[in-house]
Amino acid sequence: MSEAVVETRNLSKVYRDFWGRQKVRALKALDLEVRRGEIFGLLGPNGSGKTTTMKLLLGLLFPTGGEALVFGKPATDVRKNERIGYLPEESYLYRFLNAEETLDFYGRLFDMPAATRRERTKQLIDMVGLSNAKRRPLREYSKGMTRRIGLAQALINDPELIMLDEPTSGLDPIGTREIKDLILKLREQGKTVLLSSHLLADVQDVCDRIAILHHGELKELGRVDSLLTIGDETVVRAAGLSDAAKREIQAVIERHHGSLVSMGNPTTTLEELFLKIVHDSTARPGRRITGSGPGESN
Amino acid sequence: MNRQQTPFVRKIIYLAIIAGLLYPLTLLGKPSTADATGRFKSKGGMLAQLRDENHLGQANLGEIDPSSEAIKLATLGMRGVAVNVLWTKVNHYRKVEDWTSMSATLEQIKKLQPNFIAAWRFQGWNLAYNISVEFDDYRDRYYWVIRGINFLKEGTEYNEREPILLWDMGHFISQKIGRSDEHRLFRKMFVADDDFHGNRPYGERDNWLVGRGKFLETEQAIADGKKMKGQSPLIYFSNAPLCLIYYAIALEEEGQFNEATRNAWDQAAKSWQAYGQRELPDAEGKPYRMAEMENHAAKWGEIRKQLSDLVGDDVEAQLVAQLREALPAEAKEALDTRPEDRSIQQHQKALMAAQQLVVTSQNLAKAAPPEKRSAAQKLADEADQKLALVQYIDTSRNIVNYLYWLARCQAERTDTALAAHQALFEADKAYRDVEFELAVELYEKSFQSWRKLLDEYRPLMADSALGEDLVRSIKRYERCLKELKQDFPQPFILQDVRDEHEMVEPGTQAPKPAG
Amino acid sequence: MVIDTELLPFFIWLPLALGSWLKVTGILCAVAILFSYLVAAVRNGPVRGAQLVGAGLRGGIADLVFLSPRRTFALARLAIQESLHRRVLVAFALFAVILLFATWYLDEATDNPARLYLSFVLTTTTYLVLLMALFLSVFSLPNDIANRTLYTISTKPVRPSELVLGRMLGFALVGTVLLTVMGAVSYVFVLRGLSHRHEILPQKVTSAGDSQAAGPTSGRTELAQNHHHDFQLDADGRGRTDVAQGHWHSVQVVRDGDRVTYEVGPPQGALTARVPIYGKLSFKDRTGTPTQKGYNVGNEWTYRSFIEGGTLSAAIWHFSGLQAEMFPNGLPIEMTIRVFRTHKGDISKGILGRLVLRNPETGLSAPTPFVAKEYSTDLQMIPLELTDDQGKKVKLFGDLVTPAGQLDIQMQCLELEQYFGMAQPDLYLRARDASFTTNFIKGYVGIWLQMLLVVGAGVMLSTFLNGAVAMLATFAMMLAGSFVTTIRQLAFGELPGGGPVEAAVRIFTQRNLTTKLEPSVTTQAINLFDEGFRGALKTLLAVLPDFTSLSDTDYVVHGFDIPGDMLLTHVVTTLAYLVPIFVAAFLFFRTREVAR
Repeated sequence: MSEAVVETRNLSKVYRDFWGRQKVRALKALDLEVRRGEIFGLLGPNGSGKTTTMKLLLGLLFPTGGEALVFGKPATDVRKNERIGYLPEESYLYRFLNAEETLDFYGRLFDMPAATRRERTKQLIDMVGLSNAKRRPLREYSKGMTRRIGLAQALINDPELIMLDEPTSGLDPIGTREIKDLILKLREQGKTVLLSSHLLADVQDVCDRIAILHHGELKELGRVDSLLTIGDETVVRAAGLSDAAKREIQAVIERHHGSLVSMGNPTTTLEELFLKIVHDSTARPGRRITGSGPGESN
Repeated sequence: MNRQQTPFVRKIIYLAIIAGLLYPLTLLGKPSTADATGRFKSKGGMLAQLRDENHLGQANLGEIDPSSEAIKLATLGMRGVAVNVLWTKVNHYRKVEDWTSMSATLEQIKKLQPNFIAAWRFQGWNLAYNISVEFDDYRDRYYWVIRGINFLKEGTEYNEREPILLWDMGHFISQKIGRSDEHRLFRKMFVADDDFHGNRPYGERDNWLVGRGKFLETEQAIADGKKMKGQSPLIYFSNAPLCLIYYAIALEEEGQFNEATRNAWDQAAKSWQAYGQRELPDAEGKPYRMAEMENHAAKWGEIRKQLSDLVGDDVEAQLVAQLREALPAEAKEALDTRPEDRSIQQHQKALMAAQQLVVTSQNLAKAAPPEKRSAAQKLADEADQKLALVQYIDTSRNIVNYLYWLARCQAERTDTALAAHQALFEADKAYRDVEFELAVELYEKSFQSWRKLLDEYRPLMADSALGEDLVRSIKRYERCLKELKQDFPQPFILQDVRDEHEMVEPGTQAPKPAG
Repeated sequence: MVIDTELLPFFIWLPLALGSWLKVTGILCAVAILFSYLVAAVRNGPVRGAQLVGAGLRGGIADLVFLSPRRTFALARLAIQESLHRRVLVAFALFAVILLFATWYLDEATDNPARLYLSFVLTTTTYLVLLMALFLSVFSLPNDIANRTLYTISTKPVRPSELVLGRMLGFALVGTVLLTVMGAVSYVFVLRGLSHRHEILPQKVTSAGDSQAAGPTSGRTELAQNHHHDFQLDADGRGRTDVAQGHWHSVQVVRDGDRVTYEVGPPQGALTARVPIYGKLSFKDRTGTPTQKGYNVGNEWTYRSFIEGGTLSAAIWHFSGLQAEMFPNGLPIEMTIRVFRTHKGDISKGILGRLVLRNPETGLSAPTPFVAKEYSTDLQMIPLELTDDQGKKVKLFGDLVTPAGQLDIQMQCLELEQYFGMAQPDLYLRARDASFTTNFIKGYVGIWLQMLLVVGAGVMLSTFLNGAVAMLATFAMMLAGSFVTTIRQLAFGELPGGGPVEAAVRIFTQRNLTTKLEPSVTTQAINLFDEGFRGALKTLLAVLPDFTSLSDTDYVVHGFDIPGDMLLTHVVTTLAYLVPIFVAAFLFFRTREVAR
């Protein structure tokens, strides 16, 4: 059992107004832990307390009750920030700086010497693909570019724990794909990722374990695969089957007292299709030859 | 196709409408322009013309000063607050005697309130009268008096030909420079002040003459339609002639007894007489002339006589007898005794009684026989009107000392007067030079001339300034005689002057201030 | 120049100031800890509350001690970039515009243009820089919190102390640069505004001798900047003008064949930085008895008191520390005194007075007569050799000045029933002149210190208030700091009319200031309330920085060197305020939830 990188014990948060009266009980006695090297997803509808939990773990809010621990220390300890990276949902960066200056500034905040800063900056800008926009101020960036520079600054200190708040919201399918690939790559590097989202499909693709929150309470916690597995059905994917083979398989199932739920061609995801079309279009620009394709362009 | 072009077409239409509206706008709002000499080149649009007719524009009030407009705008509507703060600061700087900062703050007030006449008047007066006396050196005092005058001059630039400001300037130049304790020094400095006069020739630089010039400007401005606040025509028409009179007096004080002085008195006399002939408005606005009081009085006498004739001669006597009967016993007794035998109380009673014995025209008319009553009443009304006018003119005369100055001017024009003044001046000089015998001779010569003058022009006796000057000279004469061990002549030729004007001199010890 | 408060030497002032500073900060710390303990105890119970406060203190001290310079400077750099982005240069543009149009509003008829220009330039700079510092510092943190850009920073290992200090440093630097540029431009503006030449028309020059070829001449220059000078030339055609409006020019004759022209140099002596040596003033009344103050002649402003003429009444200045090397040419005494005449006397002459130099130990005196010049600075140069009151020749240094360097200068008025008025700084020895430029820069240091205070206070208040409220609070603090004397008078009951409730009662019942209120229960309640108000004001006074005392522009304007002691005192005072402000800002920030 690997160590718990993030742990909450009985964590609760109540938003009070100026007079100390209770306004909202955002979190009620949350207990969860995130282990090293896994991708953990916080799910829930809007207002369920996902963002509150994130902020409590980042030290941006103080808990009303219970504890939030990161690397075994209280979340409000500023030193833990050396080892974490945070990508917020909106870009909370200074819009009058350009990409290079932004990364340089945050690098200074980590007390990095100049040479290291320069190297990391270049590396990260190349990684997120902003090389040809690195001198433009951030206020001229599109949403995707903003998300990418945000990611770069989250990774500038090569953190052990990365917290992502709604990483894929608002992105087009290509961007979403890139983010998901990046998250998986981070896990391969041995980092821990904690992300919160309400885009279920994206979470399903990357997360190892998930927690589902509703009205500030934990409703479900566990491994994705185990949660989603429909235990009493089997899926077989085979290639190169003739009709006769298909009929035979059906007979085998009935012989073993099973029932055939469905047999047919599996579908690829719409994401795959989309990515393929975009990729082809980039490689060969020009109008697509109309065949059995969709309607005419305008 | 259409959807792309319509916005563009719309824009063109809007632009055309805007351009079309510009023409009526210029008709309305075009400002009037004037060339360098101040005459109008173009009348401007409707609004500018209306402004001009109703004297509402800044251009009518005076100079348009961009710095003034700018600072007024910069106060963002809180001009009143800013001005209050500045006035408080002026008072504070005055208290701590920081004249540089005070002047600088006054500059700001000037720009913020260029059309507030009272502010110009107050500060001009403050500078010339209050602040100047804080300084010990007379040159500094002069400097600050001139600053006060220049302050007012600026005020007239912002408020063109504002009569009261011009009048104040005239007043400061004539009175402050000419009659303050330092007047001898101030007058000299004023004549030598090239910066103030510019190109004015030396002969015209006397402060009285310059002040008079300002008073004449005031009169001209009022004649041209400007309103004068705070002075009545009786007073402000008297200022210019009085300047000439004081000019002549100043010449004599400084020892000039030549043609120039005589001319000055001539001019003064003519000017004062012209003032007497000027039409002044009475309480109801009807015109009268001060010089004509005697005519009106005579007219009143005539009307009264007519009334008396109409009513019957003896009626008046009867009425008087009736009134006399109605008097209390002591009053009758007082009237019966001869004036020389009356006691003081009886004098008073007699005086009061005599007043009560006067028969008014109304009463006389009422006593007329019925058939003549309406005619009598008409005459009585006429008589009363005339009497009221006479009394009003009499009051006005007293206010400006009309008769005194008339007599004085007439007196001073004569050779006797010139000789009297000259002799007195030289006698005082001889006295200062400790030449007592010469002084005595000259004093006696002068006193004889004065006697002749005073006998001929009785009103001169009433003036205390003249009288006190004479008394002072008489005292010096007395001292000269004492030194020469001669007796003071009895009876003294100017004894009545001594009786009238000699006072017990006040103590010479100044009160010690609190420690 | 008017000096209201006595200037203490720095090392005498320091222990006193340090003592009171420690006392005040100690009390503030104790109050803060107590208050936070109470709040924590109420929310979490007494024991846990104590734990929280203890943990908070430890964390706070750690945050202060382990400050990282690189991070701080990075944040400062960001603050500077943010300022530039917020168009701080607008302030400079505004300054340029004001200077350009300044001449419209400056008094042309002033008798002292140097003072006017300097005062204008220093006032404008002060206002602009302070306002700009205010706006910059007060909106920065609240903007960050509202835009949430603070989240990204707070999730980096940045201590709250570094955040706050970085911002303060950044804005202070921007302000300093702005101030430097404004100072340079102002300097040029003043020099240019004061420079002028006079024309000399040959017909206004009169020769003392017979021909105009050679020999001493005198004359009058033409009008320029509203004044003339009279001048005198020696036989060589060189000379100088008299002093008018605080300056003089050199004059030189230039002969070009038959034509004779006069060359007038630039104005000199207008911009000075005198280094005065002040004495201690005491008085003698009219019988010769020593007293503290002179007579009051009825002025509302009691800064100056008067001596009576024709009596034994005198004003005595006691000097110490005078050395012969300091005065190689004699003792230059400068004085500005007032004259009060109880009767006009001879108005064309000034009042006669006498300065008596006296050795305080031996009593040897040497008199020097003078004629009083009111409202102008009179320079009396005492030569090194004088005659004493017996007629013997005495030496200034040796006979009159004691070996310890002490000297009494006594002033008397010689005309009966006339009065001279003076205050301690009105007579001084003009030992030397310091450089005007250096003095000008020192004046700007005063403005710089005020700016630092504004930045500090602005950042501190913005840590827990939103932008507009913080701006008002800082502005209120600046305003209150400018009226400290009035607040002090209010707090100690020196202003007539009582506290706010009593004043309101007086206004509504139309009572004037001098009648007492009738004793009753209501009056007691009013007094109680007003006492409380006064107590609150006294507390405020202990904490409020006195802005006006930090400003020494008066010295520059009046042409006096700013003493090093005073400058040092101001710097230490500012630091004494900045340190608690920084600590308070950092604590407020630390206890705040960023994501709220």
